Amino acid sequence: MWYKIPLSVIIIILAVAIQVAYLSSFGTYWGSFNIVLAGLVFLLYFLDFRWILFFAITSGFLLDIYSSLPFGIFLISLFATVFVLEMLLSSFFTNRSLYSVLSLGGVAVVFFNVMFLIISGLTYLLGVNNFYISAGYFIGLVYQVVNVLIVLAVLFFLANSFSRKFKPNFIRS
Amino acid sequence: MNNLFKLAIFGFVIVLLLVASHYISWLKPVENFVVSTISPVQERFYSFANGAKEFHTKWIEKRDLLKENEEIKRELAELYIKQSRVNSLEEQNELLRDELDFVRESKINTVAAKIITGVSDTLSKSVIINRGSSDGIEKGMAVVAEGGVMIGKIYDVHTDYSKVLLLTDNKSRVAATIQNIDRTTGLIEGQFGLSFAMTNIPQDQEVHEGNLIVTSGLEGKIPKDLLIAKVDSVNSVESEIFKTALLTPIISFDNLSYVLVIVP
Repeated sequence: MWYKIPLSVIIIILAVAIQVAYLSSFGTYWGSFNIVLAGLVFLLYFLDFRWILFFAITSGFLLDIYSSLPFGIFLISLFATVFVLEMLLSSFFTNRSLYSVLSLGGVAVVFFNVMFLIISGLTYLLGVNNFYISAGYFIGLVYQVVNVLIVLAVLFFLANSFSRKFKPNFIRS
Repeated sequence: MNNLFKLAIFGFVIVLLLVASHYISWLKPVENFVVSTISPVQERFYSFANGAKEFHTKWIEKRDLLKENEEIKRELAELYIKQSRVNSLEEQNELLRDELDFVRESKINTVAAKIITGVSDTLSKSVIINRGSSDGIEKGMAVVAEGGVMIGKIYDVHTDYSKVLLLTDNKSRVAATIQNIDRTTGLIEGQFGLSFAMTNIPQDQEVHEGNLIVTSGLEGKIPKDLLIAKVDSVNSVESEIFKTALLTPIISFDNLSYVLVIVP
């Protein structure tokens, strides 16, 4: 199991690289693809929360390095998001269906963006950052919800083909 | 759940440490290492993105060019159709023009002639043209210059050439009509090779300066309404039966080179 950490790091780096260097180059719609968040939501169903924390912190750290915003915004937002998602998954979205995955994805996008805006607003209040929201941000948010749901749906069907994780389990009496 | 909160607190502490380390620059070496390590991957993705964008742009350009090409082809086809219409109209126009010319020619047939020379004697005002009886020229035919202004009439015809007596010659006599209210008829006579005048105008006819004089058509070989001159002044003596109108030529008779002989 030792290879899990370097493999995970490579996957995170690739995900961040695709999101930052590739998709961001293609305008509002493609730039709104939040692969990291979609990946974290999906991995919540497979991995232990420790791993999820590791993924969230590592990817948040990488995104903050490549961000023009004050350092820590992505870190805190992703950390808070995965924590809330884990709570919801263990308490509310116990049914591992497509609807559950998509609902969790929707919540993830909204919560992540709320956290993102709150922390960005705080940095503005602290005088660290020039913070303003344009209408384009909310259009991008709508795109982000749609895109994350698409990614999750695709991942769900792929995982369903290769794994029994999302299939119902019956207890034999 | 307690485990989750413990992990969350642990994670939150790590996050805070990372953020704090960043702002006190302890994390700088790590960040530099991460960036320098990941940068080749980032560059690959970025260049791949640029390539994809370039491909997309070229594809869009190609699509636009193809669309533009289709548009131009369509416009060209329309232009061909228009051109064919223009050609048809042009042909039609030419045909109609030819027909019109034919109609004109059927009314007044002419023979173009070149003035070879004047005459040797100084007593008359005549010219010799390079058309004769072989061209259908006959004695008494009218000779007009540019614009159809009559300048004289044929008085001597040979096989290959003819002699034209200009209206200014003293011997010249042409039946004419004044374009006034009464359409007065008279006779145009040469005035010593210098000018010409219209004689035999009844006294009761009103003739004014500027009235135009045209052929009357009373002479068989000279068609009606050929422009000759305009009235310069009128000499009227009450005791005489007729009055005379002095005329001004419409064109100069001194520089003629090509003329038309009207063949009825």
